[in-house]
Amino acid sequence: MALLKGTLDVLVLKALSWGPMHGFEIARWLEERSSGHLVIGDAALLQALHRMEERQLVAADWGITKNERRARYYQMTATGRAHLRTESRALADHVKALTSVLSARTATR
Amino acid sequence: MTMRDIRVGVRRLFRLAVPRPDTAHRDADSELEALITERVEHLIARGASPDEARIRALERVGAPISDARAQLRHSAVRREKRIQAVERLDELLQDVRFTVRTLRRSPGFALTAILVTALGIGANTAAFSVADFVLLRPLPFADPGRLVKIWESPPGGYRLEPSAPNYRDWKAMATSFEAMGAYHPTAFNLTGRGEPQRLAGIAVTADLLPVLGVHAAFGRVFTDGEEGSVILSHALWQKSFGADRGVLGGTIILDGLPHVVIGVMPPDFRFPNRDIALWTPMSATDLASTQRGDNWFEVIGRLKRGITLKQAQSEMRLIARQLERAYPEDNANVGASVFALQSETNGQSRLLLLALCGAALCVLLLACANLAGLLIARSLARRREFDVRVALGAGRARLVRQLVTESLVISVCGGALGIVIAVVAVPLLASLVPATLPIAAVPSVDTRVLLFAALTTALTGLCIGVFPAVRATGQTNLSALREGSRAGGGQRARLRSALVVCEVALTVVLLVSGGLLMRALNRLHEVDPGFRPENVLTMRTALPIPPYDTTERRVQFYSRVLASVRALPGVESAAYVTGLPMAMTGGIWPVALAGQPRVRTGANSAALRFATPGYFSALRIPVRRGRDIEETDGADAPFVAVVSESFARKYFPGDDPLGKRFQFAQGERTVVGVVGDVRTRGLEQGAEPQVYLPSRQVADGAIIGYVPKDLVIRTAATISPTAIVPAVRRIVLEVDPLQPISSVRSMEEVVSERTASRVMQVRVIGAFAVLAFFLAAVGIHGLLAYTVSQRAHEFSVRMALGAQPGAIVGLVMRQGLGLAALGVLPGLGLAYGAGRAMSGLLAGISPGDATTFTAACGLCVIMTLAGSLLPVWRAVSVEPALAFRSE
Repeated sequence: MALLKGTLDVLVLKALSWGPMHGFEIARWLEERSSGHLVIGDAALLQALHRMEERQLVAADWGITKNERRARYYQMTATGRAHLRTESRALADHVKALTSVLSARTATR
Repeated sequence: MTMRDIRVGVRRLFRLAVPRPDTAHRDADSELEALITERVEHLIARGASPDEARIRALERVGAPISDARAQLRHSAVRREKRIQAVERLDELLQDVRFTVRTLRRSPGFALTAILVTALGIGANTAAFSVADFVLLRPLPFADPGRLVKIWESPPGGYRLEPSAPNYRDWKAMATSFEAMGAYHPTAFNLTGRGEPQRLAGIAVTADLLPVLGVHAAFGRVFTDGEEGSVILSHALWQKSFGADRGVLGGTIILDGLPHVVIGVMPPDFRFPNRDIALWTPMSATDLASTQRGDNWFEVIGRLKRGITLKQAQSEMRLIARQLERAYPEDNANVGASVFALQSETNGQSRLLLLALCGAALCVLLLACANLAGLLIARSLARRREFDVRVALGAGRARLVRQLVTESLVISVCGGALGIVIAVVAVPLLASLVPATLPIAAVPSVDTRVLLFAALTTALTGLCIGVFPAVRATGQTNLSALREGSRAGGGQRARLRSALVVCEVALTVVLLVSGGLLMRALNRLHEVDPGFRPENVLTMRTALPIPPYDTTERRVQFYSRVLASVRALPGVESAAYVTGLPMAMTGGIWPVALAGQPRVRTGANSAALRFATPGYFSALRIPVRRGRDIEETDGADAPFVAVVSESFARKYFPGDDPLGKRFQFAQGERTVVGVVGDVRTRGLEQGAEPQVYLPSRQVADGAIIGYVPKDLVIRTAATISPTAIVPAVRRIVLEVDPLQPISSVRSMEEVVSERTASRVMQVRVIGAFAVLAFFLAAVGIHGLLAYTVSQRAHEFSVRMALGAQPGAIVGLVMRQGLGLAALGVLPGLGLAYGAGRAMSGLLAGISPGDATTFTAACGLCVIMTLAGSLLPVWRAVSVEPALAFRSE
């Protein structure tokens, strides 16, 4: 399913709110939490991360994974946390609005 | 601890790796590779075969691998660029915040530094705005570079207004000009709109305004052959016509005649100067005048594109030579000269302004040297802080930037304050703007000036910052941290000494220049003008023609006004005259002695004034021989003249001038009296010999430009001349209710107006010199205080070993006086150069004037002593035992 514009950022930030993660960890987290419904292309995810780093929503640095491999770890910044708070609320409202429209049972109220 | 635990961004903080484009590429590639590898391992762990896992992982990338790689490289590079920009900005803000914090901790230093910068920048901004306004800015006409003024040039090297026939011939013959137009000054009584007003106007040929390339703000300009119309200046239109557009096409009364208003000029059009209130078409009779010796036109030309001033000059010389041959009687030896309109500013006001700018620059340099000294002292005091920061890993570049930021913050604050100072100061400098130029009276502080101020501010900041910054960080090393507080000051003390020497030199330049100009002004004020201006009231009554077209009518007016004025209590004498001395500077007519041909050369001429009886006693011009003009010198009596001493000496050398006859002002005159010379051209210039003629002895309608209109009244010393102004106004209005009164001034004001710009300039440069004096004294103080604190240990040892306080005083003073001497010597040389450059302003005072130079040296000694006082006191009050306690 295609994502609404800006939704990916919020989802990634939500993932990072649990602690620093690298690209694959984020992708897996999203996949598992959505029970496999959210499948995002790796290139798109990394690009989103670059963009978010540019906007200082996240900060990044190289680190070592559990498997002793190098990976770029992302961490949410204070700006990112604030962004997550406002945007997730807006997204929830949006989803609620969509749901109530789609679940309408009569033509008029 | 794994690398994962390092706080993100700490690397950036330490600047361990500064990512460049290729690192960003590598980063992006390995990040993608790492992700794919992780996924492959994950899939293998879930039971997939390695090949299958690899294929599925590549599918999950979502794009062909090479495309994905390119996209990610691109976004990574972009990210790095942005982040770096943000970091740079952050660093700058951090530097600024840090600077503001440190400056707050030493408010005394900060305020002094800002104030000193503000004075330096303010002085320069103000001086620049006036100099730019008067000298540099293009005139407010279309393509002003091609506008020229053309003059007749008789022998003797001066310029003369052209006559009407010469102008017509030039216009017909010259090919260098796109167009040529002429004008002459005039004046009108505006009546029928409240109080009668006297207005300065200009009569122009129809082509003059198009030559200047100007258009009316609304309405139109004159057409050929037009008469009886008028164009108003914007100021007059606003002041007297309430900015009413309905005035267009209406009629106003000028000198009793109706004139149709055909246009209003734009507000920035002031031609030929800011006092002009209206323009009228030149009358056909004026334009057609055939008097080749009657010089009263002013001529403006517009050079053709591609024609240089030089080419135009040589063409006009040729034309003048042709006219000389054609009209040998009038045009003998009369050349023609062409000057750029932009260069009309006379040499003296140019010099006044340049001297002012030079002085302002000296102040700024002094302020910079002073601040650089202060900042070096400060950086020395903060040396340990720098060492600590370097030890903690701060880059040297960062430290330099930090220090430059500090000086820039100081200079920006100072610059802002300086602009405020300039805005306040510029109107005070208005007397330096010559009234003869087509520009406003007061320069405005506009974008151009603000740009200058900003540039000066930036340069100042860099100047005072870079120097100490490089010095302060150049020698940092870790060993300094372990050294004692006295270590390693020698280098910087030498630099500071050099700065103090510069300060002293600049101060000497300012003191000497200010002194020379002051002496010159004093000398001018001592010059005898040839009359006594104290207790003399002057005013002008316009006497328009008509109705005052006959000599008799005017004489009646004079007699009635003068009789009533003389009867006022406190009035000693009163008279009418053509033009006040120094207000009217020209009025030159050729002189021919009886029996000699009239030759028009600059050499054989005299200044003409008509006067009523009593003029000489009113101005206290001494009558040396013979008699004053008298009431009996009427139209039917023999034509007489009273001449000045220099006239008698020049034309009748070694002879008794009384009874001699000469041709002058359309008639033969007999000398009946000799009076003292008057400096009609002001205190600084020599004046032509003068001839005074009785106001009655002129034919009706002849020489109307010389009709006496200026009333001169001497009052008793006990009453102020201005006190009788209302009474005199009443008298004039009783005699003629339509007579406007203008230019009410005391004669002292007329005289002081001539030197007003100099007085202002001397005051400003004097203030600069005083400022320099204090700045340099502070500079000396700062340096000596530093060395005393450095040598306190040594002094205490010396004292403990039995040195007398006098010896210690000697040690400190020797340093101070040595520096002063080093500065004074080059300063005197520079000052002499400056004096020579402005010798045109010195009224004969030598640029090497011994009195001034001695006084300046004396002041420098005082300055040095004043600056040394506190350090010396501190040096002798060092405790002898200190040496055994400290360290």
